[in-house]
Amino acid sequence: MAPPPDAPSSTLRPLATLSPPSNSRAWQSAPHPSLPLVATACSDKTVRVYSLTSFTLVHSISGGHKRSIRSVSWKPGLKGQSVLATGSFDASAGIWRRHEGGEQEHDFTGAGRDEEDDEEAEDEDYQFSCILDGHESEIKSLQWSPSGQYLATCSRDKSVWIWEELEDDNFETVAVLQEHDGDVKCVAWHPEEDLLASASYDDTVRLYREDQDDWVQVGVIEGHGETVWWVEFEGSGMAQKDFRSRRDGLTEEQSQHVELLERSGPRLATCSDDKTVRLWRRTPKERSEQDSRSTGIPSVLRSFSIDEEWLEDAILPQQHERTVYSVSWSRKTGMIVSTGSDGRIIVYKERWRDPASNSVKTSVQNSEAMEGVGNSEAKAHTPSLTEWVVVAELFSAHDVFEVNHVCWAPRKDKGRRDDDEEVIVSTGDDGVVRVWVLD
Amino acid sequence: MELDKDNANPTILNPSDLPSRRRELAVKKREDGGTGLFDELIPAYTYLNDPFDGPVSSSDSDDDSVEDIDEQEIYDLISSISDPEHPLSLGSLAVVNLPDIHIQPPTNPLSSISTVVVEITPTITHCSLATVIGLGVRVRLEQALPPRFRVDVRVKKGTHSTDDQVNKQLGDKERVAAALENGTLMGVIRRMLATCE
Amino acid sequence: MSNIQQYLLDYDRNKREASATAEKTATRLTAKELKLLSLIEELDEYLNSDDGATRGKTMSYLAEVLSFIPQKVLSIQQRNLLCDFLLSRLDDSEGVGFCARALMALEERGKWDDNQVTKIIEALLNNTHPLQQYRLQSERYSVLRLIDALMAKYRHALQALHDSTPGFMTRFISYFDGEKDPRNLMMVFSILRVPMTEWNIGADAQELFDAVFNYFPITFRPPPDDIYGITAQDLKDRLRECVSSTADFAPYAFPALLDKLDSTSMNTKRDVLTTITSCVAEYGPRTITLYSITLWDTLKFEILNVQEEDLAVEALNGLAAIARTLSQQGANGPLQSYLRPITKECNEHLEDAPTKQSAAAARILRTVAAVSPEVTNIVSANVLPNLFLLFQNADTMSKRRGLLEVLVQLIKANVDLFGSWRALGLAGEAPPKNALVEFRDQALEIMSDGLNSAPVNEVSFRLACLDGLLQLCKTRELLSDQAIGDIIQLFHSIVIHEDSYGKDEVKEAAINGLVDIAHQKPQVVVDKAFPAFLAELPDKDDETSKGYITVLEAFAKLASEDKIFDTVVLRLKNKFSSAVKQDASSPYIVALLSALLYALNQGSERLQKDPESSPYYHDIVLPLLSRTATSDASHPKAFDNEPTLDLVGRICNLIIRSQTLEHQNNVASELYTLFSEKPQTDAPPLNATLAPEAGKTMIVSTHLLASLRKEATLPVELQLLISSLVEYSQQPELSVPVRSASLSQLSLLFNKFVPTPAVRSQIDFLLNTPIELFALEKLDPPRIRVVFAVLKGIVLRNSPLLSSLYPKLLSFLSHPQYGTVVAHGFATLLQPDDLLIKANHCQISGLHRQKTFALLVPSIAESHRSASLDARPNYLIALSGVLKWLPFDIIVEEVGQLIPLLLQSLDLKGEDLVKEAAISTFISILQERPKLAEEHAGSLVNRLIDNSTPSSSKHPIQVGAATGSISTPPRVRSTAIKCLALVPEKLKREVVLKYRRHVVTKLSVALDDPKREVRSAAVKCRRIWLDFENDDDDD
Repeated sequence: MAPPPDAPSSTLRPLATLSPPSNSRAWQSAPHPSLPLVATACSDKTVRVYSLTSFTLVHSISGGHKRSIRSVSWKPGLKGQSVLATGSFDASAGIWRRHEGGEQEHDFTGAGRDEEDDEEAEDEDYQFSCILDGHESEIKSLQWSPSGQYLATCSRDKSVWIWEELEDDNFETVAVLQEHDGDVKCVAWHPEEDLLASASYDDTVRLYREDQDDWVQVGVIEGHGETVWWVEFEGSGMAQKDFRSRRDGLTEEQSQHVELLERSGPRLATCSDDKTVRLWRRTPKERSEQDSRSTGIPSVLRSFSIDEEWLEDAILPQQHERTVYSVSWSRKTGMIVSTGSDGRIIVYKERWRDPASNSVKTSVQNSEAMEGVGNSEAKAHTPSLTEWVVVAELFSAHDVFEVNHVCWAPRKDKGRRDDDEEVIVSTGDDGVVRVWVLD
Repeated sequence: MELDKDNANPTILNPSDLPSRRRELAVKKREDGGTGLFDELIPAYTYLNDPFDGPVSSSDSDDDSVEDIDEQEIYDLISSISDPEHPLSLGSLAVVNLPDIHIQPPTNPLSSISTVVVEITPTITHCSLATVIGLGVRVRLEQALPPRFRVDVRVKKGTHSTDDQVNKQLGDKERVAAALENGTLMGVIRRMLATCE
Repeated sequence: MSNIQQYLLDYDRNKREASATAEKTATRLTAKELKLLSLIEELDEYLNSDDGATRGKTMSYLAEVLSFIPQKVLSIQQRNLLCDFLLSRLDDSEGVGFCARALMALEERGKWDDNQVTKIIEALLNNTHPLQQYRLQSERYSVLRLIDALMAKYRHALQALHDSTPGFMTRFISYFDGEKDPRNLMMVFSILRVPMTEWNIGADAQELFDAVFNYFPITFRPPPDDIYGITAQDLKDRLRECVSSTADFAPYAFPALLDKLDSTSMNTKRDVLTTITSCVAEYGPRTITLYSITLWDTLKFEILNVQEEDLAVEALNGLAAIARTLSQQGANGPLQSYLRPITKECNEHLEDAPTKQSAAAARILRTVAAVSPEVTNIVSANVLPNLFLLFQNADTMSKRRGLLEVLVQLIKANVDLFGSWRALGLAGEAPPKNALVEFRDQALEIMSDGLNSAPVNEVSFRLACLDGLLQLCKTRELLSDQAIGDIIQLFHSIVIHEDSYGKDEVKEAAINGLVDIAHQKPQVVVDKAFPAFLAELPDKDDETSKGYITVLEAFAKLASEDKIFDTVVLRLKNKFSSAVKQDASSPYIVALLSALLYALNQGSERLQKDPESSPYYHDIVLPLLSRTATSDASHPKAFDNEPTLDLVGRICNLIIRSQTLEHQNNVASELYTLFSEKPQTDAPPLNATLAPEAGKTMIVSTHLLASLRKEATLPVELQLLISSLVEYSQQPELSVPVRSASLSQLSLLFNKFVPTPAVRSQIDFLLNTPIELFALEKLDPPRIRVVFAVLKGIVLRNSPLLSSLYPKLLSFLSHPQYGTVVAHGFATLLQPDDLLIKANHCQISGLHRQKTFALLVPSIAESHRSASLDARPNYLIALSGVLKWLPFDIIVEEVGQLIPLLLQSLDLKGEDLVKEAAISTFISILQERPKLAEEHAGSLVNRLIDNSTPSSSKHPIQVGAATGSISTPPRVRSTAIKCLALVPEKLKREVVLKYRRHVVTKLSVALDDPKREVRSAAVKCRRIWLDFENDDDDD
């Protein structure tokens, strides 16, 4: 496709290539919730843990799985120890522990945040602490809930499992959800509620929550024309962080729009074989429910139907030429990054639509372009007040190889410009993990 | 692995009729139309070429010319794969055909990624092995083509009862990757590829 | 102590002692010192002992004693007496084996009468039935040997017994029940085979059959330490002989066999099929008539759905065997009714040709049809009409092709039987009438215009037509010369007029077809094809078109048929002369000469036949030479062109070299003057002041010199000639061919014409003033050439002088200016040469390579170490120049030490030939002595990878063309990759494992090589490394 008329405002600059790379395909990388580390799932049956300050390998975790490791997730909210969950093609999930012994050397990287030190003591290693069996075939994705209470796994066996960790290494299956009729590619937890989303080979995204101690499907999102590869929720309270935080001088309907988004809560981003990245917004319910959300007590809900309706909020400018494998939503800036088979990395950001503008690269234009595939409600609120624009576009991020995963992570090397600065971490078929900064 | 034959009696094409670059290689086309029969009259090590003047490098004049990877080359790579249920090649069974192979050059000056699309034609519409054959083709090409190529293997429209499902499977990178870790399946694939030159 | 006591005592301690005792007893018996009766009485006590073992040993004693008694000692009465005594012992379960041996011994000492034999058998059957009750296989073996002997010697007695005693056979058969021991089983089979083949077994047939067939299929695997060395095959063969021994078995054999054919074990099926084939051969037509169709109905599946190729072949043999058996009685009803279903089914399969099954049908028809004229006639009659019909209505070319292939198969079968024009077929002198005659015209028609009118891209179809027509031409007494002529016409018009397409398989086939036909019908080819070809060859070409090349190629090929060789050569020669007269273009002249040379090569052995006066000498050589030599206006321009002169030289060489010394001397005297009246001093090389073009005749002279026997008298005194050549060849203005020619003459002189005693003096002559060939300060490229030319001559004859000359040569390698030139010279020493060959009477020692290797290589390696850094590459170049031409078995012993040097050669910049040579040496090392490479695996792999890409850039992927002028050329790239592919195959797994991922990744660069050849090498190589990787994942 011809390069866009208004060229991207920023560029992605290679900051580092984590070394040494794996010499076989790497699938996915997960930044550590508190330490400057990133864990990468590799098809050589290992997980490689790299430092985000020195960009070198600090641990190589192996021996737990008989087949490729497809997915990794750090358990959030732990102090003094790290817990890593690994999902493998061998149909099992593994739990690994490591005590982050208090011994804290000083961080000479100049970042000045010495308690986040990455010079791991090589002697202590990740211990394989337990294995979760149950799936019939390859596990394709897993993720801890924000509270750390639940672990969700999904598999080619079309099912999503929710495990609850009663005490250390004692997991109980609290739900086996079999709503999909195709491989389940990805699971993601809502940042505020115990709401789980799953994306599938059957082209749909499904949402689940607990209803009287029973996990049930509460919503279905149809709209992608092909396999949905990745699903991820928007960060919590982004309205205070992204472009919406500037409230002064907003028009009436713009303020309403912000308020509306406030009530519907974090949005959902998905990407697909159909080459699109789409955002979905929940239609809010009555006030009472809004309160209940802040208190987090679902009891009030019981009087209402627990079903949720999710509408297409936007289709991002379509820059990808092949399957989009991964999309990630910055918790700091609300920007979105996506990547896929065409080896490109695209960064998008949302902004108020200038009523006058008829930019080619707006979501509206796209949603019209996607007529038929785009779901009808999408057009109900067009022309939307906001538009998504490409801020950076990068070709051949991993040379000629496919890029399987991309995500945001806090920048921790000595070159960082401010505490909130983020880097983009991309993971490719060449087994390489690269770190990029947005200039 | 014992396979019950879906098509016990397929039609077989004759090698001489299959498109092949090897034939062009066989006879370097000469401007005089000859086959070079008389070239052998002068032995390779004729006293006439002087080792001292003779080139110290084995390079020929056309060394810098580029022979691009083209459809015929793709065909040569996959037509020699053998069918899992017959001791015959996919080429001679017309499962792969030159006209059904397409190479799409990079769509963007900034990108170096080309796409190879191969449409396979199963010997009969309900051939349960269509997926295995497709997988074989895809594996062969992923092993044999430089990584700048993306390989899309599909069943030719209307030649198979469930072509959409098969295509979706063959297109799913994750499924293919998992399949390649399956020993039995890989065994079959390796036997299919064993006949490739 | 009595002998028996002694014997019993020794029996277990010392068998030999025991036997000795028995022998003593025997001698006493013979000497009449001991009475037979007293012997028996003596034994009585032990034979009635309560201890079984003792009774057994006693029996053994008796058996041994008897076996030591000479012939004619025992009277018939005594023998009968003993016999009865022994038989009376048979009720004792102990020592039956020895009892049998004793009986054997008795028998060997005199024939029995029939009722004695009958008694023995009866006694055995009554007392020792079933034999299996005796555990010891050796014991049973003795009994079996006895029965086998009786079977062999007293057939009638036993047959009579069988005929007279109802139920005898049943007891006899069941007697052997349950035998498992292979050696005994061999015995049982051969025993039972007697009644099978000779007795009238009527009612007992089934029982008898089951008795042996129970053992089918034989699955026995001989133990490693099998002392009797009986193989499964021995058993299989003997069992097969039994099963196929009598037609009476047919009702049981065929059902049982066909039933076993469903087995999933390929080996069982194999046995079944071979057994069926031999049954069919043995049972005879009357029986086979009953089963032929049943057999066909089963056997066909092995061919229609091939499981294992050899099974299909065996099944085909079966079908053929049936046809053969049935056609023993001519084309009668049974044969007809056997062939009917076959041809019917094949006809059906033909309908959906070309498929696996139509191909199978073709195989069946071809095999069956080839059995006998009767069969082939019937098959043709049943199949061909339908085949032609299908052909007419066929909708696709590929279908027609499929049908033709069947037709061609049938015609081939026909040729086998009815013969070709040149050779009789299996049907011999007076075969029955050939049914193919009726279909001749139809076949001729469809194939002729198939070949004629089908589009050129229908290659396989037209090839089928062409092959079919060719077969028709061959078939004895089938086609008229007229018809053959038309086919020839078809063929040559394809060769001449058709546009080239693809691999030109059809043109190729057409030419070879003409050659084949020329073998059958030379005159027809000469009459029909030759005019057509020659018509295409102008006397004077119009420089523009080169159409004549293809024609010439084809025409020259015809010379390969002995019967028309002369004609071809003659016509080419005439065409050449007129072309020269007409002053045709030199490309055309060259083409004609090439054709002539090619043709002569085809018949070179007949040139050697008449060395006396070869007509070609006068018709070809002399005219060519005089044309070359003329300098006046008559001199044809074409003869100024060096390639022309080279061909002229080669043609003359070919004709002259086989002639006798006398004839050669005529040429020798004119070596440089070439029959021109000029004085020799005006000819090169003696006259060094000539204008360069005058030197061109040197090219012809060189070939003449090459053709001469070493006894031939040179026109110039040897040393003078040498010095003139040395001087002449150094003239700066010489053209490359002329210079090389002159240098080759030096090589030839030093190899052939310098007599062994004179070699030293001639060399010294070169070394000393004024020439001082090896003087370091005089060294320059022209001299270096001379040095190597001279050396090449004496290297081949393995002169002892080499040991003193090589060191000088090596010292040149450090020459600051010309060291590299010298280095490249080394490649010439052992390089194959097209003039210095045995056929040119050169002296070529079988050991010259070894010699040079031994003299050069170690010292090269040695001096390399001591050489200055910038001189070192020269040593590597020289080394590879030598190794390049050495068969691996010569260098193999030393190659270990050379590996480090070879590895360094892979780093040389721009020395691609050197690299290539080094790599091919590594290839041989990996193939022959992989162990040697193991310790260097790492550096080898990396260097190969470095040489696998145009510019050894470390950048993982690089798209499109090779950039950078000093880049590794394709040849080196692909050889490097081919070598790399051997590493995982030849080296120990654990050595290679650690490089595999690295290699697989790095090779993806070569997958994108600008050259196809390199890419395909990379693909193969990468697959080997990948599979190697997979194997690992499996464990």
